Amino acid sequence: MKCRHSISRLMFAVATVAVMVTVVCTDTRFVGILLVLVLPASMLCTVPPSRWAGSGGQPMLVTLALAASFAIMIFAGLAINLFARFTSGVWAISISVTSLALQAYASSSRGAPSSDPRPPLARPGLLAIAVVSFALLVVTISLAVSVGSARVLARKDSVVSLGVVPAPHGAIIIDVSCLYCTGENVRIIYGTPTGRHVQIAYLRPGSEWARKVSAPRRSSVTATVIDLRTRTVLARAMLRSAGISRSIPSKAEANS
Amino acid sequence: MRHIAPASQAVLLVPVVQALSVGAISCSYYLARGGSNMSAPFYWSGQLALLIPAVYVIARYRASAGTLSVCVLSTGLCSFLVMVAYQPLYLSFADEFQHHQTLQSVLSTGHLFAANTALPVSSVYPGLEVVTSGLAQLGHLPAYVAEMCIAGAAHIATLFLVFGILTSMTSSPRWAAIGSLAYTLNPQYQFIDSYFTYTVFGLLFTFAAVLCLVLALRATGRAALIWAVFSAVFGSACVISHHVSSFFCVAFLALILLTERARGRPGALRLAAVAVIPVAVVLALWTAFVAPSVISYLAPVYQDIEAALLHHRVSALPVPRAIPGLRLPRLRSSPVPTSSPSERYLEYLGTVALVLAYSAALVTWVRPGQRKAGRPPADGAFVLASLVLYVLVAVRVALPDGSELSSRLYAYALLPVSYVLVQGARRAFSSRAPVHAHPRPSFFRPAGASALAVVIWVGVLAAAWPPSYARLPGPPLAAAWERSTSPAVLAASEWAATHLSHHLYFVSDQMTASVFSGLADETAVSAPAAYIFLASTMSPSTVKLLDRYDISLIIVNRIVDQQLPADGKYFVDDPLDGYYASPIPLPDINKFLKWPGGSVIYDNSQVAIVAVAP
Repeated sequence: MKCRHSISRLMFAVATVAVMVTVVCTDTRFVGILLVLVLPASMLCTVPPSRWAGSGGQPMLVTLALAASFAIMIFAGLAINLFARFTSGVWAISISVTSLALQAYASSSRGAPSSDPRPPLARPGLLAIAVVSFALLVVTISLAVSVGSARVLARKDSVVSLGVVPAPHGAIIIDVSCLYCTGENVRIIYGTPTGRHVQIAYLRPGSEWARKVSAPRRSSVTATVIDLRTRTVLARAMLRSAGISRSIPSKAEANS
Repeated sequence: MRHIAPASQAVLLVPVVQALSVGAISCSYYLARGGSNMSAPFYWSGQLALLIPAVYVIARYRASAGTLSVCVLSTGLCSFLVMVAYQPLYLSFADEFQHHQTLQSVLSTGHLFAANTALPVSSVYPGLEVVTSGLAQLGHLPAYVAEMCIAGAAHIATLFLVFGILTSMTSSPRWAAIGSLAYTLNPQYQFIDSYFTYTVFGLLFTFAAVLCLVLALRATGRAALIWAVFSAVFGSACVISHHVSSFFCVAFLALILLTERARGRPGALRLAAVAVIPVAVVLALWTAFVAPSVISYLAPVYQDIEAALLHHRVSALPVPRAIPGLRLPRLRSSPVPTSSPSERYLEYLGTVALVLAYSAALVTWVRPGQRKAGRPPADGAFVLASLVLYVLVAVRVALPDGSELSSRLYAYALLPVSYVLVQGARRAFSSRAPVHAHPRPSFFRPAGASALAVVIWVGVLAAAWPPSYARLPGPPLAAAWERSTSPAVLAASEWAATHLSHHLYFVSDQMTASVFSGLADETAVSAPAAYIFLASTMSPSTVKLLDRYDISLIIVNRIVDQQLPADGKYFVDDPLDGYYASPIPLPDINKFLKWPGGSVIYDNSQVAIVAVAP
């Protein structure tokens, strides 16, 4: 019996390390979520039940294990902040080390998990399962209704706010945004020929303007968050490289 | 297969009814988005079905601890889903944007404590964001999904911890379940305490620390010490997560041990050395070296309460005055309250019913002559702490914004109040009590208790967040909190986050400013906003204001020239708060767009961003 516990604990430790290595090496989404669940699971399964005695039943153990996992992640986060950046790899190592430490603690303590008369997590009858399933079904349908109507409302707002405006002939491109490039429109920001204002246009894909602005856009895709003045300088360079002759008036020229 | 007793079967109906109530509320949201008038009946019936049948069934039938656990779990989950159903696509509350900014800075820089332009103290209490960033990075989840997962788990776990505390103290899962339902009689429980804010973690860790200390008091020897260590761990996590919760946590843990010491319980001092003193030290060190800014953050709130309660001084309501250079819109002769009179009366009725029920339970429970030896550990502390309910009612009445402040503090006060309520009701019901000495009032019976719960619950809903004008979702409104967060504002803030440098000073209306502060990481300047927006032209004095505050951006949400402010004011510091009789005139908004000193660098027809020439 004791040997079986040791083997199961060893398998749990090996699985923890395997998941950790997978996260660090491949950075896979679902494996990462599995690792998040490892910490409360290891706290629940490996800490001897004698230490949890009188806590108010198994659901309360789950709740306390969840809260304890959050607390451990917070303390680990403070420690990580001193030595490294927050990355999935650092988190994977942190959670795995904590989980293995808990298992080591469990191995060194008296008592074995399965020797305790603790009931399993849940032992409901078929009726209870049916009732809870039905409740979950109702809740899911309710949320779907709400999500659907919220999307309709959001789309309605978007249509109002994002109308397609043809750019006037001779307008000056100042900036190109690809926020909506994946949709039916390409958005550009342009200045009017008088140089007074900068406005927004939404160009249909394939138009002459869209072709002109898309080439420099691709070449300057590395431009990240930069201040307004730098963007203007970059935009001028983009315009020149695209063969658009007109230059953008400076602020002083615009105000004069 | 285990046999389920008929009583347990009846109690199992509670999750089904609560799920159906979530369905009714979702339908009301669906109808409200379509502009239907039928949304209100669905909403109110759904809200009543969420709590009242549960109170009746649990009070009427006996059920196993496991079944009652399912009911409590269902209550927490359904209350969270009501919030999710309101706006399931994106964050919508101003406070959430503030913490979203802290999360984004952790995710982008990989480090804690970066400056937060929207809520400076958020970055020095990073517990929530640490865990959320861990989940987001490991699971490659979008920030919004990770935020909802963590906030939901914490919200549900908090109610479950209340159930655990009350079970440990009453030794009756049934009464503990009723007490957990009583805890949800908090006007901000469904929304504010479900949002992605540091309060959810503060409550979680506070209640976990209290539960562990109660368990330590019930245990003996080494087990007691282990529980005390757990209490200290949770208390320390609370210190790192939320300021008000950490103050409450230390004070309440200390009160528990002081009352136990006064009762002559052996080992109380040893438990204090293990459970309370370490948390108090962590709190002092954290406040002194990491979060000294919290003092200046909380001081104004404390001063307002002190002035109102001790010196009977209430901040005078702003009076509109003729300001040179401003073209004021049409004004009312007196400020108009934002809530309707009927809802205020419902709120007062609910509060009176709660106070009366609590007072009756308190008198029943602490009646002289009862055997003190029969009282559970920490009973004295819970009874003393529950008296705070009277202070909160006084705060509600005395302060102009007392409704919001008192309901935020209800989250802490309702734990001991729930305890007193269930103990009083239990004693009144107790068969051991002599009937002639303790006549059973009718409201302690299940039907009477349900009727009382209806009155309190309706009052709670009338005072609950979101306010009445934003209670149901729909098209955007001006200055209406959750209803002001629209796709157009979000698109503009996303554009600013991507294209503009961060920490630029800007002016805008209150709701748009909160979104831009949180999502675009820009710095809102609230003091001159009203004067700049209400000026009829970009006069030299207005331009001078822009220069003085080093303002780089003016963000114009055109909704302010289309609708009256639902909250009474457009701006944080608005001299016309409550007096607006018409929206801000269109020419006052268009002056920014035609001003030669600025350039419109973004415009989506609803929101325009004007860059001010340096």
